[in-house]
Amino acid sequence: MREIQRTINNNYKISNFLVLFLVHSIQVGVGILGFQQTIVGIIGNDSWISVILAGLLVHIIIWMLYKILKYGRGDLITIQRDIFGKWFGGVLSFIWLIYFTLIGIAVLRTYIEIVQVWMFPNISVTFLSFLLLSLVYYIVIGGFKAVAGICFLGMIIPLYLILTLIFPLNFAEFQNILPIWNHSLKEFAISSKHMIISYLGFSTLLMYYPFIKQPEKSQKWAHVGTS
Amino acid sequence: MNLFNWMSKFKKSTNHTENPEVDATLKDLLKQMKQSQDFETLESPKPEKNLKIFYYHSLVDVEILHRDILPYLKQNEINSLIDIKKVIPIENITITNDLSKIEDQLFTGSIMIRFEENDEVVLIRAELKKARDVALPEVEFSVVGPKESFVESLDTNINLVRKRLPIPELTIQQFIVGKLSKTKVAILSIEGIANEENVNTVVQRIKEISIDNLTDSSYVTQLIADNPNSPFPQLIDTERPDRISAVLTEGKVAILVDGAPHALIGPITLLEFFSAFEDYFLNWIVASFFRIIRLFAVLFSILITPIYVAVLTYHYEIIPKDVVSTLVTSRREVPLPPILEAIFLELAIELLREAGARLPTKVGQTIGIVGGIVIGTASVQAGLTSNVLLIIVALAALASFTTPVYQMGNTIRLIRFPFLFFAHILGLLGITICFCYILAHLLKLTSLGRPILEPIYPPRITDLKDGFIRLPFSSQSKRPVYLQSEDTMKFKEKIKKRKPSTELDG
Repeated sequence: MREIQRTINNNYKISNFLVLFLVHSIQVGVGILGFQQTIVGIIGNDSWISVILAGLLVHIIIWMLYKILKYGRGDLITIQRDIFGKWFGGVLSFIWLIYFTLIGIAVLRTYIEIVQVWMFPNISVTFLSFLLLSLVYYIVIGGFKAVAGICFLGMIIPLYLILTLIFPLNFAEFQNILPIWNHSLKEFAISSKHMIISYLGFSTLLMYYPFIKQPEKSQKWAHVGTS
Repeated sequence: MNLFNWMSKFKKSTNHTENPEVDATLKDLLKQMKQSQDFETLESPKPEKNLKIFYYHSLVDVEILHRDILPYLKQNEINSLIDIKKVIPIENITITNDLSKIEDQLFTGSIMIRFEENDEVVLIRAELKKARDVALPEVEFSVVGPKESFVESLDTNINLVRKRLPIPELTIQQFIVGKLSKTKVAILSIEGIANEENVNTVVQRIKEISIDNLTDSSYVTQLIADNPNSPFPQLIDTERPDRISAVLTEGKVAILVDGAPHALIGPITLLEFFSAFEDYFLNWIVASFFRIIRLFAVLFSILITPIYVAVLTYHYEIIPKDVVSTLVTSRREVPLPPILEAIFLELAIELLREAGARLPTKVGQTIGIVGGIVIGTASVQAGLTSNVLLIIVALAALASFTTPVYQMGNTIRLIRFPFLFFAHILGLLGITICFCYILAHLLKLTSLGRPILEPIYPPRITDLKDGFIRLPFSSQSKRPVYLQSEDTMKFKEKIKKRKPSTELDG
């Protein structure tokens, strides 16, 4: 069983650099729409520092994840079973399972909420989540390659939306970032914590690591994807 | 009634082929054949020899019989079958007693000569070749470039391809498919360029076909498709021999079917459906421009009516202020909701197309004009549809005609309707969801085992050189990556660049 999980048919594996899109697409989720408001509320004009700070922290964590995966040779479930044994490892994996499910539900619900706020205030949550989940199901039964493909296209196709960030720049007052560093360390810590929430999700790396063709080389792409 | 007749015929004939012991001897076979009026039996020109000649006069060129066979049999002393082989000046003569071979040859246009009561016979090839002349391509006509197209005869078609690729590496493997039709299917590939795996996939799938009557190459498309339940075609069909020879040199595999004026190409990518072969005859800048126009037209054709429905049903706020008054004026009289209005017009267009396709050409044109102008104008004046939608639907229909491959055009016709439906229930969000469904479907779709969405996904930058745009030939020295060709370089890249002429200065 464990060996099966470690040796995955090459046909199901993806290229290294697609990790960029996998990591990126799970981070740039619904969180991107709301994080500004939260952190500006806490530390105002210094929020850009906490954005970068949180990003650096994520880099460190990804580095740590890769350390674990490299020595563990396998995905999270196999590693935990190797280290903690069948039962305790299984319990830990179960906790992770719940965690991922919760992330999924949270993302789905936030998405539906955005739809409700902006487009259809009266739409039924059940109906829309059924529609979206059947779409997700349809993609997932296509295998990991299809999932990676959707992540890739999901980043490439809306790439032009970055241009929409140019228009607010017309109204930007760059002097507003002064004075730099006028908040306490604690405030930075709290805002970075809030920021990291919108970065979350890269831990799925723990699960799809065996699906990467040359996993050792994909680390740099994961870092690129984060930044 | 027709169908019933056909079915009963089919039943009878299966009975006959399933019981080989019925025609176990040559005598029985001949007896069965003599039931047909077109089966002829000739007595020998010299009565003492007991020679008998058998053939189907509908399959045999009788002139060969009279010119090349009968006189020689008369003039020479014939004592054995080998004598016949010696005296008759036709190269394709076999002596056999194999019943299945005899049956086969008789049905493909051979003359059988036999001494009385002898099981061994001589078979002389005298096929009646009646095929349409090679004519202009009709579906894939191009202003520049070769103007030959395939015909219904496999030999002629192979000749057209071989003429363009006079190399021994061009291999042709032939198979007989179809229990009743015994259709010849040829698989063309270039050894050393085409990936063995691709060729083997095609060969294996052709061998696995189990069908009674293989009429056309489009049967093969459906029978060997990776996902037969997909609305998207997974092999390109073409009627241009020059296109076949061009894709063979890229490392693809071509399938020719006897009796079909269209050849199949695989593996292919989605973008190839939108590249006309004419693109290669034009300057690369012009060709790239046309290709982009075509891709834009496809998106436009699929999305514009659903967007109209979505915007008018849910998102009035995104209509620009200046356009609102125009839209309101044109829709003021219309009692129907946008979705019914759109479906009404889309269906009208589909009806026109179907009617135009089923009618003879001259009547078809009239239908197009009558339908397009009269019904369109009348429905606007009657207040059933708005002017704006009429324009949109007509443009969308026009745009859908730009796809060079007919099968793909049909798919585009079809997938507009789910988009319309989703647009009605969820507006732009619905369009996005439907788009995601189609995208996910395409991601999973393969053509002979190769991903169809390549080079977009899996992303391969080198293959983009002949994707959305077509770069000049000099920069396309590599064969497409997705074909996994055994010889990746098409030709050596030239390093030297031509210097502009200096004559003007002198």
